[in-house]
Amino acid sequence: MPEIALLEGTATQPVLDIQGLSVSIGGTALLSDITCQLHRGHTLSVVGPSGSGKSTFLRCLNRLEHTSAGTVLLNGVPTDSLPVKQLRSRVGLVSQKFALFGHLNTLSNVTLPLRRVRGMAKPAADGLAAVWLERVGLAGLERRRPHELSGGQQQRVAIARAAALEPDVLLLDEVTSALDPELVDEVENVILELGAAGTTLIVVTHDIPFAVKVGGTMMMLDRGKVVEYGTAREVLNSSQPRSRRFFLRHLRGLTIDIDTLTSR
Amino acid sequence: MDAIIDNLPYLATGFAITLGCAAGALVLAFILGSILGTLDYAAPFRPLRWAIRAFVGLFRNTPFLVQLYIWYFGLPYIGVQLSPLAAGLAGLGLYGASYVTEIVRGAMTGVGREQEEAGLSAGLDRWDVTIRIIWPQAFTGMIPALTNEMVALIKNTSLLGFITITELTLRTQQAISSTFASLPLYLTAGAMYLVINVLLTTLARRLEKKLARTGRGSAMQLTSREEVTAGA
Repeated sequence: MPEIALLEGTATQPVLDIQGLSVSIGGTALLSDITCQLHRGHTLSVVGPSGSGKSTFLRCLNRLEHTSAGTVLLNGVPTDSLPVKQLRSRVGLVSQKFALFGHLNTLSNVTLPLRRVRGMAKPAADGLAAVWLERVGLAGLERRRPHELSGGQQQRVAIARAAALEPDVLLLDEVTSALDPELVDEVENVILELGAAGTTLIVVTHDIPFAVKVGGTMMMLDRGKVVEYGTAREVLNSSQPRSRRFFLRHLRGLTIDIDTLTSR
Repeated sequence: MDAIIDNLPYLATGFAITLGCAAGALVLAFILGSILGTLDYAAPFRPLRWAIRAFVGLFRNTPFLVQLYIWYFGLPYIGVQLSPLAAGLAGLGLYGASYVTEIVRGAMTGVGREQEEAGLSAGLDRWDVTIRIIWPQAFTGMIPALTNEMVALIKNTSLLGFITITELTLRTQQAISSTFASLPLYLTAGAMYLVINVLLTTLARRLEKKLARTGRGSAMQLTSREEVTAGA
């Protein structure tokens, strides 16, 4: 399938326009009628209980999962009309597990997609990869292999690998949940910096304070449906009993000052 | 002792023939098995995978000697007369390939879905993911099983005497029929097989250790918590 010319999203046209997205497997609905929009440079955080469909939602956006109904428009073009390779280089995904390529060093992990997907020559790819590794704070570790890195470092390489392709939108699926607590901050900071630099992000997380810090729009999924959608302040102040119980349980009595978290 | 010394050149020639047949069949088995195993893992076309499964099922579940007889004595029935060497190489090579196919497919499956999805998510196509991400990591895991297969194949060359190839075992029997020195000559032949197989398994183990040391190991290493934090 030939690549399709994709226009950059404009101020009025969202990067992602998701309309009525539904997924069901064997009669069980995993996602029902998700509708939301994401504009260039904006961020969307997705929260919700386990099994609420957060990961499935992300995996639909780059077609790792089949959708049953609805459309996803990337810069106005339906994603199912795009070659899957082109779609995935435009919609990057970093997952929970540190899925670095185990046989390649840090630099090659970042350059492999640049060379094979973007078709860049080796010197250019090496240069760009080095820039991205520096941006995520890993300058000097280019020759390390994944098993020589900490979980936090591995996850930052994975983010650099996805971000170096300069996707239209970067999807981050619980990227800190498999990490030791002391390694979470270094990864979260990288994400916040990407957001501040104007990368369009969708961040799935169960860490509510982090979701607040990410800023932008917050969406809460529950049993495959959107139950809350708005600013962090609106969502956290929801009057829905199920939503309130979820936030109370996840904050574990912690009170959070939204103004402090969102000012950066 | 004289029987051994007198027949040593005769047996050595047989050993050389054994090694030649084994080498040819190994190349065939490993190349064909790698291709079929990779296709069985990655091919999106189902009938192709069914055909590969059928090949493996047929060749793994019938005795090697029966297959060898079919190649040499059976095919002339339909007008195809193979030379002993061609029948021997085809027989050993395809029999070995059926095992190698399963070894390769199994090792690739063992690398894990996460590696595959990480590659696909980065925009790589299925072929790139298979060849550049899954294969290199699967390879280290294949070495022990491939070594077993290599040894089995070398030992199976002793059956090629049944289709008139004068390899080591057949020559040993010929030497015994003129000298009656059965035990010394069988032990000599056995020692020759032993030496080459021990040598090859030792080399294979070294290769495996070397690959593991340089971090080209399987993805399993990455899931070990100790190793992940040790580098921090």
